[in-house]
Amino acid sequence: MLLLTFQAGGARYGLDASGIIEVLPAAELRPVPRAAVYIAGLLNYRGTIAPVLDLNALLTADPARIRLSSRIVIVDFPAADGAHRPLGLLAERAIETIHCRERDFQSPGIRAREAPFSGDVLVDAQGAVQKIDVGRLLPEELQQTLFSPPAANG
Amino acid sequence: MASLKTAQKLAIAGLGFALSALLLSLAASGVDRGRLQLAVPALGAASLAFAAGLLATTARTLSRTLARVILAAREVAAGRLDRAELRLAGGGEREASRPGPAGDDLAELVEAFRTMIVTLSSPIEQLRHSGADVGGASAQMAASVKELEAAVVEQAASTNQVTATSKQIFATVQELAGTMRAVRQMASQAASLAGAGLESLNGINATMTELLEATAGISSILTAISERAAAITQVITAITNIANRTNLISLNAAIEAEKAGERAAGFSVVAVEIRRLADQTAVAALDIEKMIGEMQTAVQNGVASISHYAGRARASSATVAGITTDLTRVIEYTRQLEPHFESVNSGMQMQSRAAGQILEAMQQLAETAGRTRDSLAQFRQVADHMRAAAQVLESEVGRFAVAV
Repeated sequence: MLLLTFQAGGARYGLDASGIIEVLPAAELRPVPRAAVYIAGLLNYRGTIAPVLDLNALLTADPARIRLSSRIVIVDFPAADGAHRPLGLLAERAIETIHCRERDFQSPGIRAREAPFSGDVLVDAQGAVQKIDVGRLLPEELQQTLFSPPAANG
Repeated sequence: MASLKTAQKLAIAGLGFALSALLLSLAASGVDRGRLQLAVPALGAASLAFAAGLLATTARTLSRTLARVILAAREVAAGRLDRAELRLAGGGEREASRPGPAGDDLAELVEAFRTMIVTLSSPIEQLRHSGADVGGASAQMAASVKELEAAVVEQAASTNQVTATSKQIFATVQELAGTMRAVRQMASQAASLAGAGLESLNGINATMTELLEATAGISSILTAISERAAAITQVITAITNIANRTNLISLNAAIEAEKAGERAAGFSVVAVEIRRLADQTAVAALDIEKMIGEMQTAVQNGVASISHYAGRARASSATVAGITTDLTRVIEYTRQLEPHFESVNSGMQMQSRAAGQILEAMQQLAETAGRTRDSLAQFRQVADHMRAAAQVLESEVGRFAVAV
């Protein structure tokens, strides 16, 4: 398998490449009024409005800094209703990929209730990399708020 | 009558006297006795008796008159002309008042004696007066000479004082002239030193101007370097952007290759290699950017230093210009002093000459005073001699007593 790595608060994390649609440079996002700090904004992705989550804010409570190495990773989000939606994830230093196997991952043993997306940990020459479970990034209520069909708005 | 008798007696006495005198004179003159012996007995016999009688009567009168004349002569000899006159007049003796029988010849002798006494008395009286006058005059002269001598001594003292003062003036003027020469030399030296300083300052000023120009050149070069660095930074930004894009593309390519599975394994390797190159490029670009940043900081510091230095150099240049102006003024003033020194010097020389002339005149005056003193001394000697002579004359004349 292939992992796209990024950094948050000095720690390395990884995203499964099989769920990634595309990696984009960090662009101007449309702000979401009164949204939580981990909602970075709204992105027009090929004609579809895609919400963008700030991974740095989710993992460290500080918003991501916009650099050349800061990128928006578009993932295929499997919503609760069974449909797949594009979801943007803003991450710092998303510039490397790691080839690995599923069995190389270990369970971290401890997992915070507020961070259900924290996955297993891989150790390589540069240190530990914790996999992020994209499917558990959004609670169901938020999924409904974010991906509500146009009829619900009306 | 009495006078006739007296005249007769005198005539007879005179005849007898004449005869006896003739005889005596003959005897005295040593005439041949042989011839005389013939005449004498004849004559003598006749006249001897007569003569004897005559002689007896006249001899007494004659001797009295003669005695008066002798007395008078003695008085004259003693200088007592007044008493001589009295003696002639028969003063002191009754007999003398009477005319003697000696006759008119004797009376004439007495008369002649009297005349002589009178004639002598007048010049002696005049001589006495003149002697007194001369004595007084010589005394006055001596007194005047003494006064003159005192005046001359005072004059000599005054002359000496003036001479001493003139010498002091002369010496002071000489000293002053020496001081003025020294001052003039010092002023001249100061002027030449100021001139040398001015030349040095002009040199410094020229160097300063060159430095300022060089500084301006360095400043412009540094500015150019800074601009180039900015341009390089832009290029590096572009390179970094390209490297970033390349990285992004290689990431997407790797993801696509992973999705494609085994069929895109080679493609995946290429994507990883591209990303590695892009990363290296980005790192090199970052290094260059960092160096450029350091260089720009250095250049900015250099520009600041150069600007600061230029400011100080400009201030120094202004100071040098001020000093140059001051020195120029100093030289100008010193040059203006020169003619003043000249006039003072010539004035001093004139003073010196005048003092010298005064000194010379004083010396001449002193010499003249000395000569005057000598002359006065001689004059006093003469006056003393004259007084002595007058005293002698007075004492001599004083021996004569004249009837007034």
